[in-house]
Amino acid sequence: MSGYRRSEPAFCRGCGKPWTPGADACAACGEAMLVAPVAGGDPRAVPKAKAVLLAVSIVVAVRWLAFAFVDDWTSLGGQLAWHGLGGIACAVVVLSAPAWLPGGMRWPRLTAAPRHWLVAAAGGAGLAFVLGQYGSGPWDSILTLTPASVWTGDGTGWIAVVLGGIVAEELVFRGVLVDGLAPSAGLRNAAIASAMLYAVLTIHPALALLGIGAACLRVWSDSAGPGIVLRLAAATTWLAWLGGTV
Amino acid sequence: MLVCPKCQTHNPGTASYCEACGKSLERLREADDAIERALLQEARKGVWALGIVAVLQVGAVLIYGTDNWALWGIAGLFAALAVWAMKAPFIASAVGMAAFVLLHGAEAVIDPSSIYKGIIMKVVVVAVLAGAIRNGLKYREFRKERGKA
Repeated sequence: MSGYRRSEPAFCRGCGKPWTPGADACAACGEAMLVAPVAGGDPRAVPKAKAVLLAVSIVVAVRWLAFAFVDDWTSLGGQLAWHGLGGIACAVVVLSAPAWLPGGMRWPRLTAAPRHWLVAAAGGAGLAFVLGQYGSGPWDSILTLTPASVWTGDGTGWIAVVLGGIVAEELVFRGVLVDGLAPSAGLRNAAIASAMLYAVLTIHPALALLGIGAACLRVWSDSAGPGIVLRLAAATTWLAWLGGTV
Repeated sequence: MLVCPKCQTHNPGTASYCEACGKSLERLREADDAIERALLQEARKGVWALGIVAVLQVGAVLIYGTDNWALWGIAGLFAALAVWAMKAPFIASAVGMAAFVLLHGAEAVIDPSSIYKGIIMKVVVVAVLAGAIRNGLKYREFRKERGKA
């Protein structure tokens, strides 16, 4: 904690003139009185940041390893394997965070104002539609690489891959990661970090764009909920209307 | 924070005069500002490491083909991290370190022979980023003590 004076100063810290007793600001230069001592901040902020960065790095490594060792990652089984393993790793991180995160963890906030939900749903569906319809090269590779393998069938794939993967991922990246980095880096920087690490996880420009969108929504709404809706809307658009996968 | 050399009162880092005795703290503050600038300069060394990774990545794109969008994406990511490290050296260097280690770790798992490719550059980048993270923390602590963070 800082050792700043809490009481009224005898002299102005700006101009050095004697302070008028009872005044809120210096009569000579207008310098305001330092009312409260500067907060020392959370002493566990840095250990918390290191812990969440390590946890997210493990999640990324698990998902990449699963991806690298799946024989046919475009098949439904392959998709379930690598999306599922990534989702399980995310779920483990979220559920175990209170045990290993210095200072414990509050559950990521999922509530938001109606306008946040609306923008998230419209933005996710719109982005997916535009990229699917008009994108070329890397932007539509999501559609051309794995056509409808997850959407076909009884919907088990959608529930396991889309819902499980997206919800678990968002709870880690826009929940645990942002909440863990915010005390040391600030909310905005924490959200930028989450978008960048999500880009490292996916290595795909379209998905990285969704990550940036979810990070913006996280800052705007102060909630992880709209990010989940954004990605669910995008995935549903790709799967149901355009015949792609997530 | 600035400790008055005359009365030992703790003053905010932005103070020009001691709040208790009125002594000028200008010279003390200038010295403190110089330390802060030096710490920031050290913390910003991560910018160079991240920038070099981005440039090398662009080189890899040109060698392996300009249509390799994954490599373009990685180059863009590190370029963005380098720019970000100017403003937020600690968090940008930490994210850069995580991304760098993860990317090369994945490459090593897929192709074990890649571990030794550019090993000196990899070690240098990791060492510079580790130093930048350490100095970023020092810079952050210094600013916090002065009541600026």
